Amino acid sequence: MVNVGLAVVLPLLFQVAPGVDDAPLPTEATYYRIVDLVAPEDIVLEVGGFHVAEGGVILVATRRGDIWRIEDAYGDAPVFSLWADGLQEPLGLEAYDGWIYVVTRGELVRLRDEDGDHRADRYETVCDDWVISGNYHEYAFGPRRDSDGNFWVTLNKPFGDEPFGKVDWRGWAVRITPEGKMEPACSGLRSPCGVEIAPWGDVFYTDNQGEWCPTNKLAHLEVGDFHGHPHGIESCKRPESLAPFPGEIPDGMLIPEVAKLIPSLKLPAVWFPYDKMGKSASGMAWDQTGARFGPFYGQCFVGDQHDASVMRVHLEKVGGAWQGACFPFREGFGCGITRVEWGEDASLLVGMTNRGWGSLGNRSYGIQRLVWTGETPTEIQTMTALPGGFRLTFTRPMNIETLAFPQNYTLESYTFRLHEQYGSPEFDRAQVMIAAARPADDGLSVDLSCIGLREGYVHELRAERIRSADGLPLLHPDAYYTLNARPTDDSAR
Amino acid sequence: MAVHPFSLTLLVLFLLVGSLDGQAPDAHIDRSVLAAERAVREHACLACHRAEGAIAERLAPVPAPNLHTAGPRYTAAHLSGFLADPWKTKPGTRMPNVLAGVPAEERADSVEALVHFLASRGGKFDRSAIGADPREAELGRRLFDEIGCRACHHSVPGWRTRLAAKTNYRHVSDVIHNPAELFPSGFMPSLRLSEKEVRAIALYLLEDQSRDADGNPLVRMVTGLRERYYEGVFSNCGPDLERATPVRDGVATKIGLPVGHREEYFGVALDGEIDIPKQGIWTFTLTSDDGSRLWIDEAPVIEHDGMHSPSSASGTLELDAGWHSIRVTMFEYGGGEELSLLWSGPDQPNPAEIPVKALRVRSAAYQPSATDQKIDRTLRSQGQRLYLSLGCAACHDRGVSAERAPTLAALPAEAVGCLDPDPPADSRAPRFPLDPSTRDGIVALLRSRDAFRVPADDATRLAISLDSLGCKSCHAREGFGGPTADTYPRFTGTAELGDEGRLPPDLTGVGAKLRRDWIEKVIGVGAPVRPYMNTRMPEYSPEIASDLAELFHREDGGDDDGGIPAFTDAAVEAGRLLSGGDGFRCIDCHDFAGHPSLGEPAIDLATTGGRLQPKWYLEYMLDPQSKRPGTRMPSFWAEGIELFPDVLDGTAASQIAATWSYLALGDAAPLPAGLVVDRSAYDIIPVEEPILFGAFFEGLSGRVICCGYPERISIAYDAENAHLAKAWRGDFINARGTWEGRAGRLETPEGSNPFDFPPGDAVAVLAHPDDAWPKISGREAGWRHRGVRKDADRRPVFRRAHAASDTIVEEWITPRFSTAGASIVRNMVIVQGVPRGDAPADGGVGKRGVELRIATSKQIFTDENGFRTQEGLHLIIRGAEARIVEGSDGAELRASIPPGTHAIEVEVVW
Repeated sequence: MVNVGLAVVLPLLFQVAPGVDDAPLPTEATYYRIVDLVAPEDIVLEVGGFHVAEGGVILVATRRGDIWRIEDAYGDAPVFSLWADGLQEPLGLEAYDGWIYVVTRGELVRLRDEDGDHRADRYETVCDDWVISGNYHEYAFGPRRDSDGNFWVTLNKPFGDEPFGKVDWRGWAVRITPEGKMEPACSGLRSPCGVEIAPWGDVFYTDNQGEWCPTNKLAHLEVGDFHGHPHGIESCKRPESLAPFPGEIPDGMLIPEVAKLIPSLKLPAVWFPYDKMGKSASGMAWDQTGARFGPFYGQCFVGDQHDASVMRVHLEKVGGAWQGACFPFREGFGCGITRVEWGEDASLLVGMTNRGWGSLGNRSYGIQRLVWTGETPTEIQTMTALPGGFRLTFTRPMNIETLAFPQNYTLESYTFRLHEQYGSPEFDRAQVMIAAARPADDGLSVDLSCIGLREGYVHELRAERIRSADGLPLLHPDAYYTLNARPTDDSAR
Repeated sequence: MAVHPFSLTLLVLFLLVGSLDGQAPDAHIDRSVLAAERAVREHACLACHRAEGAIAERLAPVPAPNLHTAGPRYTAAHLSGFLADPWKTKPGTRMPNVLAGVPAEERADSVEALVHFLASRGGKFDRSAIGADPREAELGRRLFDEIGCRACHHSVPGWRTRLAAKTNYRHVSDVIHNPAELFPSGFMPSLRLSEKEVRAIALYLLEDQSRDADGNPLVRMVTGLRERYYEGVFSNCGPDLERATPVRDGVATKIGLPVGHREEYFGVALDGEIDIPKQGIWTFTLTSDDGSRLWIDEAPVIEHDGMHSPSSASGTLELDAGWHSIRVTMFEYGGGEELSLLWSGPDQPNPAEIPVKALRVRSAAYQPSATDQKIDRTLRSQGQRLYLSLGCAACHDRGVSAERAPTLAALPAEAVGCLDPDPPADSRAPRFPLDPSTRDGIVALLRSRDAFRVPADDATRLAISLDSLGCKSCHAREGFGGPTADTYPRFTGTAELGDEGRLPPDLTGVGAKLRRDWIEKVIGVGAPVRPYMNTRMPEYSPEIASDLAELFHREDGGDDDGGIPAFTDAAVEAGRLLSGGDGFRCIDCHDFAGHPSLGEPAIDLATTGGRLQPKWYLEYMLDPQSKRPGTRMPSFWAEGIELFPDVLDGTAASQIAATWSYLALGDAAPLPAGLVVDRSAYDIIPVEEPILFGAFFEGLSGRVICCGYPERISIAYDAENAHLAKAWRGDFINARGTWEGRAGRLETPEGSNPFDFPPGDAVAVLAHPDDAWPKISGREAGWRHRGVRKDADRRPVFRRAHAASDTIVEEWITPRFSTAGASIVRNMVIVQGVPRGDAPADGGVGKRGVELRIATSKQIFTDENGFRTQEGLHLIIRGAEARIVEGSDGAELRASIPPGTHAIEVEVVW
């Protein structure tokens, strides 16, 4: 049956458009190639953190507690040697002042090779002002050094037994001063697997869907924030806390309503709608490669630990706060991704481990690199808010006729509930009407006039029917804009 | 073969005189004497013919099988046939024909009465059928051949058919599992089999019960579904699961998670038939975490696959009433798990669980052939009287005496009565089917019976034991026993090792080779050291084990520890070098402390010290062929050749002694270099240098740094509370609890002999040096871990600080070899009150100095070069003046450390 159908359809296609359609449609792989970084079989490379050093060297922290030094990391035969061991679930590396800073479950520690044998000889505790209750979920992520010299660390909340007793500061983002003092900065985090300093100096983190976290998100961390999870808010009452007690957290209200009730609730810059945009947001990296990684310079790439995929985020500041859109980017990695980092050659290093959590893919751990092939994909480059709609920009000139036709787009909005249940469905869904689509003359952007925009809602756009000037559909026709606030002045042309 | 009675007596007397004089008895014992003594015991002559004193002990009857539960175990047909003619029913049995003396016309009635009595003992015959997979019997056959059953149970044609007619699965599996319960003789040993193996062998032995009269396999329907449980990392119900080998294969009585599943990484497949009560549209709802699939009539109905949290999927189809095939598969990756299947359909609108009676699976079946035996109470009483009067109870029920038989002393030394090969018609004696040589031997024994009034000498006892217990079915000793022409090819093992790899060891001189406690362990509780061999050493009672170990030692020369070489660190180092990859490469063939060899697995070298006598070891290493002819073990110190002239003095004597010193450390021996360790395995094994491992630790905290040293010493340092907490020897850590799945389990030491350092801080500031040690400690008392430095040997130096007293302590452990146990040197550098930068040179609380607490115990004693605690710790302190402080809870060993920088060493032996 199937065979017969194909036999009939294929010749027809050839007849209709032999010049274009005899080539298969491009896929993600056409533009971004996944390359294995081959490790010896007996190294369990469950990646917790990367440090990209010079001269083809990478340091990789593993969840088993080792740091491996990889020489010739971008070549065909990378060489592995053990750089450090005995660290308790190290989930991030940062180099500063000749030291490698590592965050482990219980401390921020810095390591150095003092005798030049490519092995760490000295581990110095920088800060261990938080303690752990002995629960597996008490991971610590980071460290990321801000422009004031503070190291930011996010502390997972426990999930289940706490054999050594409940402790403070779980579900917090803390900053550690250059003197090694911990300053608890933000409460309400759940499972904050990624923390990163944006190129402009702001601190962002990703969080994982679960109780009190309706879906995965990317949020700006500012001292005093509350991010929605009540687990650790009692710690706000301790004198060291820089975050005020947020008050009673209502169970089951829609997010925009909670925001009105709890002044310190920080809305995320981007919600990643569950299943559409991954299931477990993890590490992230802003593209600082110039144009060496393709047309997304300055944007943020976020790994997903379930979908074995990398997503793309574009942020803008509206009403004094960061918000923006996320887009699918590349899937098909070996397994769940924990860390992404730029390699020296402007490839994206992807560190993976799915231990303890299921993921797509056929491996359990490892490193892959994502390499731009040099061809530019047909993508929505940015989606930004206008007072009465959205502006889309494109990576390649688009067919203006297809851009100008409002029925070629669908837009709907929804929000989530903040509640104790694990994750939230999309609530209060509504269609947004696209009244007009006004393409720019160069075909590189279009302004959509919309009726029915709602603040505090995710706006999900689909644009399957628009085409590039040379006839290609969008590689990814969907985008998800988190419209916390609408801009007031029209910056459109 | 007949033996002349006169020469036999002489020989017996000679043996007795020899042993009484304390001379070594002749190693070559006349086999027929042994045969007669053994025959008298095994035929239980003294059960009826009573005797007193030493002779009664020496010729004590071997107890016959326990018949208290004969009813459930033996078919009436078997009992009847066996009583009427024991030899015909069971060739070779020692059971006499007790009814031979009963007049022929009464014999059939007597048999019937006895059957009614025996069949009533312990309940009805268990006729229940059992389901089985034909592959189980096949496994049973293989085990029966390979593990050693066949060495004693020679196959007489038709024996399994007779067994299938005699008994049932329950009896056979009981006997294999726990033979001592039914066979008090102790002759049938346990082979320490798993439940699965017992079942497989029983199913093999009873295979005839799995066929009907025409030889067709019996099949029956079992309620439930066949459940195959898999362990492995599956990410869907696809081919990986379909192709996996089940860990368990059984029958489930509901559609749900397999009983006893592990938390993560498993799968299950349920197969069978489902009874659809009424024709119509049926809806199935499959709920699972993670994925699952449902097939009905071999067509997919629900595809709910992939990784997900608990969720449901439904499938609807039209089904006729009656039985349909059903298959459910499910896998669990990580996190929670769930599996259920509900149905709804005509007359049943609400989804409901599927009742077990609606599920069935076809299974091969075993069915004992017996019909129910109706017990006639009159016949039973008659049988009970016969059981006593015929003397059955004298053998089968220990302590019940027989009636009427003359005492041993009163018996004529002639082949009359029970021994009469051709008894007169009116003889009432039971008939023993003895071969002529045994009969002659017993007559000869009776003739010289006074010679048996003294206990048998060691050689005789050992020889009889080795025969009776079946040792010689597998083992040769001094030229006798061992595999026969028939059994020789049946022993299997590792082909590459030739006969050494498959034949059980020769026991000649074993008492001079193995330590006495090792022999006892091998016989009594098992100590399998030959992984290359399929035959398993059975397990005998502790009494038999102790008795045999003692006899071997007395016969061959006991433990001689005089030859133990002097123990030095240098010898251990040399021994380690010679054993490893840069030496004689022993690890090419031998396992080491559980780590596989690089080739075929010869005996684990870490067992050397516990197993072998040093004298034997030293001689064996010089010339392996002298002790074990034909062995593959090379002669490393062949005369005149020094392969490693630079190790020690280069001589064979000192180098062999060094390997002994090293190997005698056993599991505590540092692993030899060159051993290949799997870095990805959960067992962390330091070979070349120390390894650090951070984890949650039982009883300590959520932040503990463990260090395993190649010297097979390990420590746990509590970084949360900044103190050294534990040390142990042997294996370091199995990291599964920290490295598997979501992990986060509390770790414990993997090795043995753990030792706790005194609780809390080792250093404190006290108002007065003898004040009570502070109750609060660690983090709460202000101590903070400051980091780790690795020294030139990559040993960790732990650094901690106490800000209030301006104290910094650096501490590290240097492991030491020791034969007596584990030994470490605890090194500390205490820096206190030292001016740094702008701090006042003389200021602060630190000016007073600190107290160091080295040990706590109920009692502490001084000895020649240090201190000893009541618990057996031995402590030598250097760099500080230690003193014993008596407190309310016991004693403490303390030293006062003045301000400044001080290095202190505490050698701890435990």
